[in-house]
Amino acid sequence: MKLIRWPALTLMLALLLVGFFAISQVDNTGVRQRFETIATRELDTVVRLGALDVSVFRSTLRGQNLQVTDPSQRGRNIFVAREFQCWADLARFFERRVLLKDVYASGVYVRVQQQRDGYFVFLNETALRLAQYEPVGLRIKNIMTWTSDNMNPLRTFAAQKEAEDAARHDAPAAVARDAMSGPTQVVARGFVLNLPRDYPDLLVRRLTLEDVTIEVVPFGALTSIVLHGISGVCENLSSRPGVLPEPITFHAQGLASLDQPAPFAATGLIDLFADQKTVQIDFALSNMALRTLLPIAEVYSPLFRLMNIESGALTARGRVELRNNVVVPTEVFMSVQQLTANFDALKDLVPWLRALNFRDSSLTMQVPIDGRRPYMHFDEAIKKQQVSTEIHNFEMRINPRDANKNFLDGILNNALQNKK
Amino acid sequence: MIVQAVSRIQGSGFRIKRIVWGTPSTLRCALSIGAGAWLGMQAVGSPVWWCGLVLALALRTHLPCVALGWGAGALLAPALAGICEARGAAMLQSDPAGWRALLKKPFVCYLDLHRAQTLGRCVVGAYWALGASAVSAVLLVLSKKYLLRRSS
Repeated sequence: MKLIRWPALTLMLALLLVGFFAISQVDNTGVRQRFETIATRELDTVVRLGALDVSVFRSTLRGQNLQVTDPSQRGRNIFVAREFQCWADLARFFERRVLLKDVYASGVYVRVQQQRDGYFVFLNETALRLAQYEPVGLRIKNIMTWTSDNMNPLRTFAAQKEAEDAARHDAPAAVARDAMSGPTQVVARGFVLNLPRDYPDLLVRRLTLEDVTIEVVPFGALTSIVLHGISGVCENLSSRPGVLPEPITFHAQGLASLDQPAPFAATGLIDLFADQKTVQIDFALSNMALRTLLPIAEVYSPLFRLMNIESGALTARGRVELRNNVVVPTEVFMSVQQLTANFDALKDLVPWLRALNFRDSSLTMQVPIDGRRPYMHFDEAIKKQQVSTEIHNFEMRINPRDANKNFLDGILNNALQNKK
Repeated sequence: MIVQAVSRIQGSGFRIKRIVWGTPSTLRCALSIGAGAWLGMQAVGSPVWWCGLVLALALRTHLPCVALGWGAGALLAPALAGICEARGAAMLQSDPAGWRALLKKPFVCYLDLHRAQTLGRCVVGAYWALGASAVSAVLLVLSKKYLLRRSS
């Protein structure tokens, strides 16, 4: 019996070692192709991965040229990562989860689309309509769960198909019969205890990004805003932030728009633990061309559609804060320099106005932010006298016939008071 | 000449029997049959099955007896599937919080014991293995006594 016992044990040990160490020999074929297949199926779009290098011994995963194609327009990418590298915590594999201590990515390109309601999404509306079966968030979660299960070397012997198919929710006590692996074999699936984990399946402790480009496509606009040269650090990114006590923190800096150098920086904290949403983002940007920002702003207020801005650079800084799902009132400091704009379209709202033009003017204001739409209250800033302006060239034409009787009273009274 | 040939064949037969079966003790045989019976109850290829197989190989069980018990367990497993399911579900539902705390531990989380069928098979398989060991021990002792009496 020694002839059976020891060769069998040796073979098992060899298989285990092969599972641990030989994965780096098949990573570029087996693992890469499986990842592409699963991601393509789950995202309903073509996902390509140029090269993959997995080393269990060093606990690293290195990939090159990851591309996600736009489902609504094949040939155009919505996500590209030229190079990425992950360092995993091997001990956490024994707890059936993946903890990436450090992830480094460079040459990342993301295309985000603004929707009709102002939200920014990864996929555009056409692509979302194409994805008929499940929400994209659920699909990405499926990929993450698959990755955490299958990139785990300990899964070598835990390849029970039933476990993969088992539902995560508590099943009814009655035995459900499900045909598996062949038309004749019937396996009882039965009761499955839901195991709500108090930790996420996939956790990235630290994500370092370099040379990131984000293309923001405003709703209904032909041209997009390109944020480029972005570098930053993000900590505690996870597949289930609701069970992770540590908040997501980030810091990013880069340049907005390709036409003129417009540096921006943002730092923040997002705490989603126990379904409580606490967000705190400090931001600053300078020299941002107003013309490029206007298409994005148009979605939030119809007033912006009436503005025809020729030139002007925006400098802004402030804080946006959300504590336990409630917007905390804050103020944003905004300054517009060299504003040249034409507000002729306002005559649709104001009948007595024929023309309104600014040239080489500047405007400084502190705009209050709170939870009421449209969130940024320019009218309150004027009421609180938090606006100062320096107008160099101003032209306003009125239509006196459509104006009220007492239209000029205020101006005349002021003029009389000044004379006195 | 013929007698010599028969005795040679008998000798080689005994040698083959000795190589295949060996000279296991009664206790080892009984425990091996029990281990085989438990293994036969588990779903082939499941994490629990792999653990049981590695333990059976590493703990110097008597492999023919394991195979014997395995066959018996595999024959009985479909008939006991309903009992396993019910037993596992009852256990999991009796203290879900406790089971959740236990089943998320390192290594244990890979055994898929949160599935009633798997847990039930382990528990009912353990009862069945104890019973099979006891019965086989009694039968082996009785058969040895009978053989001794017959040879004397």
